[in-house]
Amino acid sequence: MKPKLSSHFKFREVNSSLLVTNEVGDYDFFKQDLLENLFNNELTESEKIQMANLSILIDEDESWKYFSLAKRVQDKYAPKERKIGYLILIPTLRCNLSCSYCQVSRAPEKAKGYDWDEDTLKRFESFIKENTMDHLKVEFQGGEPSLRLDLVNSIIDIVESNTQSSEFVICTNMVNMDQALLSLLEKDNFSISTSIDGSLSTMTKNRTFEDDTSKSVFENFNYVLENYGPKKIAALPTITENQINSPEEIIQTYNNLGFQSIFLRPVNYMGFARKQHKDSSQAINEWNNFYLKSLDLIKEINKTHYFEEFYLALLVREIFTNSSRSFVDYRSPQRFLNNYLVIDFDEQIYPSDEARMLSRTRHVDLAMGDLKTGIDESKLNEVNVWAENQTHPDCIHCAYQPYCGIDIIDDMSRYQRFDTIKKETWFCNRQMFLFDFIFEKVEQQDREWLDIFLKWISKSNEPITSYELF
Amino acid sequence: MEFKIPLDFLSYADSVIVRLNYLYPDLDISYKKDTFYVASDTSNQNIKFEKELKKEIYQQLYRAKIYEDTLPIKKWLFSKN
Repeated sequence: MKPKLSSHFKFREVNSSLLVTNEVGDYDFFKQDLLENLFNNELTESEKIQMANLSILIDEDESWKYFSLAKRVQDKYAPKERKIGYLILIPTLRCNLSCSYCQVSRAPEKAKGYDWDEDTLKRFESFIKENTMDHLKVEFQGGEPSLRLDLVNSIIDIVESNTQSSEFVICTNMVNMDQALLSLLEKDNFSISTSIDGSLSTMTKNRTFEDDTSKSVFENFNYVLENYGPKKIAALPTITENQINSPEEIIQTYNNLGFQSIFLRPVNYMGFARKQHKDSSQAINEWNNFYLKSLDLIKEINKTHYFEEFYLALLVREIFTNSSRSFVDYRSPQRFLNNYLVIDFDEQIYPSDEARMLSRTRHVDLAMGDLKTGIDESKLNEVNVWAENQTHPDCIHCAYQPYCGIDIIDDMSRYQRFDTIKKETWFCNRQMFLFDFIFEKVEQQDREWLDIFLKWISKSNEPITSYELF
Repeated sequence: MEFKIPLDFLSYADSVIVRLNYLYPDLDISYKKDTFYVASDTSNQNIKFEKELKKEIYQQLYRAKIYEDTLPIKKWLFSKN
């Protein structure tokens, strides 16, 4: 029986090979004349077998392969019922710092009218009862949420009494570390996340504008690390022009602090950063150069112990183990408000923290309702139907589409629209760079990098050496 | 300026004209038969702009066609359970 072409595939040149991916991201490498052979009906036996293994060529008497592929598409992309498992809450927009890249137009520390009140707490409890999963993770953002630990405590009480299990992260600048916050750290399900952008001088340039304040941050950080352990504290950097020429500084800072992971996160094009870091938030080539140099350093560190770049490790796990991605900014369909949402200080509900930022700076109103009136399903649907790459006119031809996401919020921020040519966007350029990096290493069978990928997949320094995964 | 439209894309011209006039309010963009006509103050024109406009017109036509071709997939992705 002659095989017939029966499912879509996409391709891209990687090194001297042709990478071919199917609808769900199964992949293989071929010689570059594959397409010519295919359309001239001159495929070699080996190519036919490879294409059959990807369910791209299917014999007529093997229609089960087609249905199996369709089932995998359904499992991966089918609509799911809303169940919120992750909430970002902003109990106050007030802050005691004014970072150069602050994205939410934070309010001054002494300002009035920027905090939740008792009525908000009541409405929040009703919302939790109606919308959340058995397990709920809550992230307290700001402003500086530690300015209102009374509200934080009330929210924790509400969540714990309305869910089977829960966990809480407070995103604090750690300028002040009072006893009330330390008491919260005694709870098993409570931890801290903070911002560490590099050395003391970088912290001063980016965040505090005073070395003494930066010193306090590091002292408080080390106090928590030493007294409560590494599981109780995490940190995120924001990379601006102050760090982009010296990746060693930020990598070594995180390595020396004992972290096993760093999320190399470029300053985004929102809030104060649009003016104060305009160049670095738009220079994709500079970013990719910085990132590549950082990966060389991370490779060296992995020779002695486990250390991952959070986002690259996330993509590696997504590609090679089909693990589902929870990051709303990097998945497709994005399905805003399906399992994750943000509730601002004024009870407005947003699909992501970046959407909150764009709305706060009055670029586009992306509020999807509020605690008083509930979720605006009509508006939400209007946004959601564009937030997917499965039918995007550029992405449908891309070999990396099954692993990639879409970020229409970032597109709106940078280009004031999201129907621009995708390959000209920051998001696409960054993603293509990362996917090319991964698949070039796989095509070359670069054992040094494959060993690191295996470590990241198993989240262990001594993984099973199962190269067949690649 | 004039831009010829491939026949297969003619059926999308109406919606594309609306989008283009929104994106370029200073221009007067219209079409007749298989050609888009762009009228503007000639002092604002240069080759770079003409290239950008050409890219935008064909991209919008292409987007409209892919939108229609893939609409069943989009409807499935956002169907109610």
